[in-house]
Amino acid sequence: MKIYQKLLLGFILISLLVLLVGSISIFSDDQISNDISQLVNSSLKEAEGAAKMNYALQKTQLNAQRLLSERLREIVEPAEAASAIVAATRANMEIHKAIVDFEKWLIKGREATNQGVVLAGKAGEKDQVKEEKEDLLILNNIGLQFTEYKAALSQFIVLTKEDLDDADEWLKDVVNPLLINVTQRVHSYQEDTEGELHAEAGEIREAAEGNTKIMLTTTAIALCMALILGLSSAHAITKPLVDLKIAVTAIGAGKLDTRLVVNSNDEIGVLLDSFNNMAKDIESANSELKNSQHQLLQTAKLASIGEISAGLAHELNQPLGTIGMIAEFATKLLDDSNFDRDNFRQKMQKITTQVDRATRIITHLKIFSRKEEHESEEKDINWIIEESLVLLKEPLKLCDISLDIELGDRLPKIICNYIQIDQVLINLIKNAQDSFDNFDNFDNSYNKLITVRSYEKNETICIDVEDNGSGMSESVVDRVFDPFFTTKPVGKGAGLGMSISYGIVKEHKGILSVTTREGKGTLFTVALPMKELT
Amino acid sequence: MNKILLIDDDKDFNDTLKEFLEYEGFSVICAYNGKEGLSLIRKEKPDLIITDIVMPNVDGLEVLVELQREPLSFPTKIIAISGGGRIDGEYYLDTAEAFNTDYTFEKPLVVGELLKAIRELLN
Ligand SMILES: Nc1ncnc2c1ncn2[C@@H]1O[C@H](COP(=O)(O)OP(=O)(O)O)[C@@H](O)[C@H]1O
Ligand SMILES: [Mg+2]
Repeated sequence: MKIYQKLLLGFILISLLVLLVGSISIFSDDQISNDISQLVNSSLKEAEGAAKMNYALQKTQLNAQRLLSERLREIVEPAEAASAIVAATRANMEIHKAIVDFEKWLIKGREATNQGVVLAGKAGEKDQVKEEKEDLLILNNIGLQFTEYKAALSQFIVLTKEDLDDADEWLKDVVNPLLINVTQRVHSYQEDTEGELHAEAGEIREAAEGNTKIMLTTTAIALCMALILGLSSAHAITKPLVDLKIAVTAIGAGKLDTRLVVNSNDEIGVLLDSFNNMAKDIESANSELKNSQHQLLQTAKLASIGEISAGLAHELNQPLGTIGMIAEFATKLLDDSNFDRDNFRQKMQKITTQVDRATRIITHLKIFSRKEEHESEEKDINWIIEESLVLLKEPLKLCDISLDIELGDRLPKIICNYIQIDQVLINLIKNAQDSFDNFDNFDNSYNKLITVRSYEKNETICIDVEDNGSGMSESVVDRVFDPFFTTKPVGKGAGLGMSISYGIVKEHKGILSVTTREGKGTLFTVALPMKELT
Repeated sequence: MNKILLIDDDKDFNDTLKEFLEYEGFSVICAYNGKEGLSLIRKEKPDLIITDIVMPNVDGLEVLVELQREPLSFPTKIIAISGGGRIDGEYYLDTAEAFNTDYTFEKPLVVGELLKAIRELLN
């Protein structure tokens, strides 16, 4: 999966969670307002009905009183008997109507409460069931009391037809107390309903609180998930980047075989892949470079051999000439009548010495031009210096240049590839020699001098190659280590000596430095670490 | 006895040749560079000078130039030897010939021929 897809998915998940939280809260808000309006409606209706009924019942008392007084008027004032009978009948009717209404209300109330019990039972709301059952009990009680009252009232109406005094007494002593009983119960029922309203309001508040809790919890969960998503995608991005950084550092430090493990095909996977490709390219380019560097080194080596071969022929001629001479001499000695054995042996030893001298030159040349890489070994720096001078002494002599060699005493050995160090020295001394070429700043008595020194300094073994030749201008010394930089005519210098020497010294973890003064001379110093080298 | 002066910076060569010539019955003195050679010439008045041409400081050619510039008050023969190392070694010898040398040789040298030349020049 691509990173942007991962991120997209994360955001979609978070949005969905937010949507869920939102709809839950909207839904439960709706529920609450429904609950409220239902509750208010039913409770109000019930309370209203109860109040109405109480009022109607209280009116029956008045009507009963009126019935009684109309009966009395009918008897006491016969002239008004007709109107009194009409009024009494009306009162009677109203009483009757009130009774019927009350009964209807009672039945309705019972039915509603019964239904409430069933519904609450189905919904499993035990408290509600209990409440509704209590209501039913109250209503039943009211019904019982009311039946008693109704009976008493019927008796009263019968009595009004027989004996008014008895009726009056019955009304006062029996009917009215019963009525008060009923109205009180209805009143308390009314109060109960109001109480229920309060209780349910509390429940609703609780529900609202629960709702808030749910919202808070879902929000917290959403937050946690967002956090986890964010962290995991951040980790998915940063972990490979950190690995990449480490790998880049490793490559920079020369560990070119460094590769990264690619286990995703997102943008970072692609990045790591191209890093690996790059590392591969660098590695192969580096080995190619090493190859061509090696070839260049070889070429430069052969070039130096070319440069010194003139002196070499002369150098070889010397021992050869001497050997020839001794051989002839020895032959003569053999012919001598009194053959001197010791003298002859001495001559033979001299030949051996000269052969050694010639061999040394040839060996040096052979080792020097051989193509295989030489291993590093422990060598005495002074020995290397002497060795490199084997091929150089003669050319210097030919150019009238004095060579001053100041070798340090008892210098510790160094571990190096001596053929390479040899080559550095030859390059330096050849350059010093060349520095006198176009330097006509001096008269015939000028002593052209090259000094080679070896000494120990700050844990390093140093070799100085100093000349009192032309020196270098700033623009030349700035580029002296650049490959192919030369101020010499075509055929004389390839401009490789110093850059290759610099490379060799660096490979030995050493430093090749230069100080020069134009018209005065130049000092090159090779500083090599005393121990350690690969 | 004929006195021969050898001028050559190669000590091995010089010493061997000296021994050889002494064995042949000559009196030999050695100089190891041109400067020393010049002073020995004036001091020892040798009958024959054998000089290498290419040497540090004052080289053999300069010895010849010097002798040309200020001729000696006594007769002297001169044999010039070149190292022959340089491609232009022969050129040096040609130049030497121009300076009235009696014989020129190239290294490596055949001593028999040198002896023949010495004998011829000194008798
Ligand atoms: N000892 C020196 N004195 C004066 N100039 C020097 C010396 N060593 C090097 N240089 C300058 O540095 C240049 C580069 O040297 P190098 O790399 O050896 O190449 P090359 O010798 O083939 O020219 C030379 O051409 C020369 O101008
Ligand atoms: Mg050079």
